[in-house]
Amino acid sequence: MGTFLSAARAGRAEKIQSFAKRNIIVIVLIILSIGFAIGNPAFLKATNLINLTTQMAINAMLSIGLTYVIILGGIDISVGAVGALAGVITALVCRTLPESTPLGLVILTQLSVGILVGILFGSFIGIIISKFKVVPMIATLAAMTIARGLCYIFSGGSSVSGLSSNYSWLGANRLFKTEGKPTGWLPVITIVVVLFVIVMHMLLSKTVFGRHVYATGSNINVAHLSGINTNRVTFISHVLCSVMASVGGVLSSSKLQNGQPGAMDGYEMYAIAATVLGGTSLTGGSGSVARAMIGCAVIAVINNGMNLMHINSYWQKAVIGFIILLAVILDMSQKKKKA
Amino acid sequence: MEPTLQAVNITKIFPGVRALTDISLDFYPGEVHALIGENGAGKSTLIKILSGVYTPSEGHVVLDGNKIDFKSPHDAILKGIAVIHQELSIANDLTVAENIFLGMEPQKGTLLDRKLMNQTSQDILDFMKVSIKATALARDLTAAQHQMVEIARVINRKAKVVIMDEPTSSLSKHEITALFEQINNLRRNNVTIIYISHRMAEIFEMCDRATVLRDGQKIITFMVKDTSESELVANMVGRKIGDYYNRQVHTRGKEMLRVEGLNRKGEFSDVSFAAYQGEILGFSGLVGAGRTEVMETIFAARKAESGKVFVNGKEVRFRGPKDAIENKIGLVTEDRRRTGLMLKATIKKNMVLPSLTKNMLKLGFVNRKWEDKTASEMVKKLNVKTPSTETVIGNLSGGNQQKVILAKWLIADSDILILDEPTRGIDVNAKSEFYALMNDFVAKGGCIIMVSSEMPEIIGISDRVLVMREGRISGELRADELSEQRIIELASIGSNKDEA
Repeated sequence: MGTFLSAARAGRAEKIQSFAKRNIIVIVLIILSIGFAIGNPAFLKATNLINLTTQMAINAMLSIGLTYVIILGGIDISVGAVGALAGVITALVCRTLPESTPLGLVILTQLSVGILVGILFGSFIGIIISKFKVVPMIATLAAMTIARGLCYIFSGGSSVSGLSSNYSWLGANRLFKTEGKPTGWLPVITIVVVLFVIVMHMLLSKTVFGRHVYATGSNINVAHLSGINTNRVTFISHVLCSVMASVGGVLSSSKLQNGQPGAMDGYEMYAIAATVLGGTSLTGGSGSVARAMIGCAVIAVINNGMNLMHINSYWQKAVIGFIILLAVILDMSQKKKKA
Repeated sequence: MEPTLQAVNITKIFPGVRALTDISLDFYPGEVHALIGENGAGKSTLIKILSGVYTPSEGHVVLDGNKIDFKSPHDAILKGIAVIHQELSIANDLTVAENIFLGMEPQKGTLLDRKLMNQTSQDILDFMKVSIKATALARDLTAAQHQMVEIARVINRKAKVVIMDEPTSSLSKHEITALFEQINNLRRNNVTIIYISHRMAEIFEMCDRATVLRDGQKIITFMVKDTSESELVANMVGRKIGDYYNRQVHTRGKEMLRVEGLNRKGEFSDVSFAAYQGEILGFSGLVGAGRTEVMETIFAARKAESGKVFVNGKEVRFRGPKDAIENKIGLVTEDRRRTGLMLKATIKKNMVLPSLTKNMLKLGFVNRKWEDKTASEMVKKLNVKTPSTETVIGNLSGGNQQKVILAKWLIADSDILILDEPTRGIDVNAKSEFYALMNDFVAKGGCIIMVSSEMPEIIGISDRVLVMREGRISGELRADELSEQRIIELASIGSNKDEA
């Protein structure tokens, strides 16, 4: 063939271009933050920023798990419903515990029940996708409706309340009570989420399993021909996703100190939006947990900032919807350029 | 005599690629002119310019003495240039006559003049001496008959120049003879034929002149009767054939792979053979003979319905590619973009994929240090042209991509390499380097099974060749028995084994 554009030139141009594209969302986050800080300087106060982390927490849990599934080239729209179900069941179980139950036991119960619900639903979804080859959208749609239905069945249609005060420790308590801040300043929920973010990010980016996830999402044929058990990778990823969603649901119900059958309605959309905004492509093969967190931050900043500026909350949905559209268009145009 | 068609100083540049440089060629009426060259030499690009698909960046086309500027492929067709592609363009749901008149249907007033269409078509078919009915449905015809219909279409169009792209790749021996009769027919009617083929035997049988293209340039035009096969191939590759194939002397060692009675209904049956240490075993045959399917089955990407596989003398039952890889077998697939590469991932990530588990750290962490070191070593060892191992592999040339895939299996410690059309779509120099790597591998005690549809390649590099036909092994040829003639015979008609 004739002479090629030197691979070096292409490589360098590629690097700069992809660096800019990948970090555009960080720039957006900074610009938004500056904008809202100007709109209301209270935005930058420490208390507000800490509040931001608690506002992001649930969405972050959902996005962590979704990242795995979306990198795989799939989707999971049941994360909201499964989270709500985990919250309801956990509340029901904890309601049977006596008020005097020590904090440690309550937390253990919350997390175990939550994770169990996640494993159950994740396995169900994982099997019908990997073994029965049902398209992820349909498989998780089924899971979503089943989970939501179960929420109402188990709760009898009403909120599950009357829970001990220890129940809200994970979701609402803050550590380091000081004179100036008698209720504490470091939210436990933030710590919990940060821990999960670190572990799940490392699992995805530094382990062999994580590589297998990327490979399967990048080209399932190549992955299979390289000796990877793509069915197992798919199964495990969906279990992880549902477990993250469940723990998110437990944290949410802990925060509100009840189990609501209608909780987290529509949360799956924000979680998907956050993941995609952060730079995880819907076509699979790329992205990371850290990036999903940036996406979550953007959404939380928009909500928080608009509240502080007393902008009608209905506008928030529209703005976020618009930003999602922008993100997907950017994502698609990146694909076209490569083609 | 004036040439019918001329290319005058044609250059074609695409963004970042110079496909053709200063090509000047003449094609005369009644001549069968072969256009030969490796993949990527520029043949397709030249044909596309001559048939109106592309416009030249520099230079022009001359038809019957007039400088011409095709506005579209249709324009070229109207002016008398016809192309018969490798992928035939027959509409299966139409009749033969409708196909012949496609785009130029005769009308009586506003209605289709079916009677005229059928009559004229039948006349042409009779003139060609082929027994096809003009009213037959195209779907009911064989591939060879489809080709006849395309020729009839070309005759109907009163084409002055007919370009044929690898016309015999799916034909049996006697179908090829029938095709040649038609070509001679056309020749007698002063039609110019440009014949693209890799098949030396056919070029020497049918063509008057042959032009060799290499790296987008015209190397030389020969009178076929004044040249030889080795001279043509030497010009195609640009160096002495021995050096091109980088043959080394290797001695055959122990049996490494044996296959007995492998079956998959509809794909292949009763396939049995052995492959040895220190040899390159070629697998030849027509497209669709079942070679890729056999290889994928050995690698356990497909499940065998019956039969046995032995590695180093021991029977193995692979449940999936993972088992094959653990038994040190590697598979370089036919279609690297679809099944060989993670296009958006880096060279490094692609290279280490099958070997991650074997080299991981505690708790399942990837051994980054090993990964970096191994990838850099391989890039150097195989001479992969890239600024770094972090380059996205989609940006590399085909030849370099193939090297990365080869590296992948070397890193996985493969002893047996199955290569399916490994040099497809890569340029001449990369091919030669690849052959050197193959010979190196085998000299160090490995075994290579290579599926290829390129005659010069199979003949040039194999120690032994097995030919498949319609799902069965039809014969085996040792290096000293290898010839294109013999391979084509085994691929299209019969075996040199006793029929069961």
